[in-house]
Amino acid sequence: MSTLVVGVLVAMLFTWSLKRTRKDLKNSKCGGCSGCGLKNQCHSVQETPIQLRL
Amino acid sequence: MKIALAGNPNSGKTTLFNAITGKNEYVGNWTGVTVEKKESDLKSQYQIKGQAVKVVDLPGAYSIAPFTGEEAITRDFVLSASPDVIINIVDATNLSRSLFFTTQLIEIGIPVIIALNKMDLIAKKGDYIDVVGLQKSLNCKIIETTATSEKGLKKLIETASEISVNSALKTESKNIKTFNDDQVRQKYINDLVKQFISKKVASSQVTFSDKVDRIVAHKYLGLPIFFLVMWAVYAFSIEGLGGFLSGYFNEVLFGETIPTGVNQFLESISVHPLMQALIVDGIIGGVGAVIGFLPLIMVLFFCLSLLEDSGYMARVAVVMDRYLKKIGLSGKSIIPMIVGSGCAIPGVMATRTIEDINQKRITTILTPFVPCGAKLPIIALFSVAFFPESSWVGPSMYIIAIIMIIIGGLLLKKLFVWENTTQFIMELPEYKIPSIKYALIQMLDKAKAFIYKASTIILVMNTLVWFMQAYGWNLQAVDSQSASILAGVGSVIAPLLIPLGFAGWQLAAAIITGFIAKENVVATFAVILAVASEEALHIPGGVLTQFFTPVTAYAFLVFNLFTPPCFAAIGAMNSELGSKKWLGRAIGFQLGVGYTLALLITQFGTLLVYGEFAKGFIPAMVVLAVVIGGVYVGVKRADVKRSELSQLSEIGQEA
Amino acid sequence: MFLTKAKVGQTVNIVKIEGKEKNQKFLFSLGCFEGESITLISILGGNYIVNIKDGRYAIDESLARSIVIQV
Repeated sequence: MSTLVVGVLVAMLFTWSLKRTRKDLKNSKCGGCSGCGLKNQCHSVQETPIQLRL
Repeated sequence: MKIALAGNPNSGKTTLFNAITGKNEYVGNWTGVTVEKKESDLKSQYQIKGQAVKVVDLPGAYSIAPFTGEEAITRDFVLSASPDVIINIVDATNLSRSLFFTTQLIEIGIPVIIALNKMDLIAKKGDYIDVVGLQKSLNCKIIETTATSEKGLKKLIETASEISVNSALKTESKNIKTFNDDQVRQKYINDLVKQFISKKVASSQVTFSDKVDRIVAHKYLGLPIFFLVMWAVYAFSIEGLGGFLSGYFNEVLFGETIPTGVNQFLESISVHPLMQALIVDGIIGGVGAVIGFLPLIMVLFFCLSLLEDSGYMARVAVVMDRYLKKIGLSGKSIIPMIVGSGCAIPGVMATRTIEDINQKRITTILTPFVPCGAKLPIIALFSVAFFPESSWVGPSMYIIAIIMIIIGGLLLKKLFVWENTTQFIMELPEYKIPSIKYALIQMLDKAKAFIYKASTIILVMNTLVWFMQAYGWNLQAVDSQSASILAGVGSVIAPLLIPLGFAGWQLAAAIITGFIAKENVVATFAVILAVASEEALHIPGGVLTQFFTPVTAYAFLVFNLFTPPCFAAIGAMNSELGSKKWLGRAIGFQLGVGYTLALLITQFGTLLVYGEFAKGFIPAMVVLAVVIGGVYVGVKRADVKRSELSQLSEIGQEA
Repeated sequence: MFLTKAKVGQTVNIVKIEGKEKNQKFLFSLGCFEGESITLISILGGNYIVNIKDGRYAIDESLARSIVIQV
């Protein structure tokens, strides 16, 4: 019985974690790394890197 | 209303951007920090009533006619995105140079306000700028600011708002000075400088800062000093304060206190043992093993922030220029690598400041060699478990990385054909006492990110790994780990690791999860080995010694250091390299270097240190022969191509 | 003569900038062009630290050799 309760809690934790991870992965720039900071702080406008030819 | 922040590199644009938006974009005291546009809303204290304001931070530019990639971004943005107001941030200590860009911006026709920044330095230096006179002459509002202490920013935003509103009402353009010739422009600027600026000390005087540079960037002392500095940063993080706190976290908090407590609780409510194992070994064990290293990461980023704020980085570029020239790069290429000591992704993105496409590519391939924050837990774990007495192991990784960058660079130069034109010019900003406050903000920011990462990707991976090692393919709990799903997956890759002296599906599994996030290597070990032992992972002589000798442990460290770090980094490389061909070469090269180096360390290290052959010696020799052969063939082919190209160009010249 | 031959601490006048047009224009935007003065601050292992207008820059040998000066 207690296993079930704990199991549900664990499953909730896991789902919450999975949702956040999937949201990160969708942002192709970060690729799930989250290494450079929380996603809501990433403000760079996606830009194709400019290479200059003169 | 859209406000664009434009100005010379290192004038304080991003600092100002952070101050008025409340964000924490990357700031560094050298040119080439901001490589992309950043957009945001204003922080509440700066917001204007009744106006929605967007602020765009642009990379630095010396002029509107672009010679660098960053300047092109500024030009394109200003010309195409039509901001309502341009705030031209000018470093007051170098007004004479900044005015070149300023006059160009004014010419565009979009209202410009000059934020005369770093006024605190002007006060310190005793210089004087006749702001009123300059303002009148340029016919452009000037607001004095000090972005680091947020002085003058409120007035700046209010003025910007006023101007954009009034501009909409006016239909005739103001009296804009245009120059049809840049020579005329410079003459005008020189006159302005003579009239309105007076310097207490001429900039051409040799200063104390210059004397420091003569030591720090000295022909012979420069490199040892740089190594010493990076060594100190790593030693302090891994062995010093960072290691000490991490030790407590790992041994006490996650090693005993929490698991024991949770175990007791779960037992007391009679939870099924498998569920208990999932929670304690899988989730707490795995995530805890990673979070245990949080102090390490925090100390590292604190130190890096101080280093980057001081202005030393530009000097490092000067020091390394000599050595980087030997591999066809220039001093500028070291910057992405130093940024990469935090995380390889912004490091790789920093290669945008390198104009030459080939130099940029080579730098992109080499940057991930530098140990990043995510690799730190692995380094720390293995240092403690196998080399508890030696404090040199951790910091040595950084030194090996730099050495391998040089060697790897030489190899790349030989293997691939391209034209070698290197011109190095780097602005040397003034030294600055690094801001402790800013470093603390960075440190806490990284801590948040780290915990976030642990609670998402690492938690998910760990739970999966736990399942895969507890259950077999038939989805029934297994008695022995070696019959589990994970063991099956690991055994597919495991044979490839034999020449490296790494035996066992467990290692293969750890390495595989490491590609998703390097911290997973530590977490996966924790989860897999929790079954075998109650003790925490990092006890010297603990459970890891079943899989490694100190020599192979070192080889394992090197393997993780040089192989492609994680999928996110591969993604960043992909967008910077711009072609799948080069991405393939990059990954292949990195895998090759990591694999071969680990192989060499294991095989020859074991012979040297223990006087016996390591596991997998024969296959290792075969692989080594193939690698040497392959490299030899590759170099020869490139040589042929190079001589063909030079013959063609000779013919072309003769014709 | 070229900047490479200037003495440390010396302020000299720029006669012209040789080399690629791209470099000329870039140096121009920094304030390094015919008629302006440039000071050689230090020589450090193949790199020349110079002062142009109010900025310090490190330039390498090949770039320094493209700056023609007059004492």
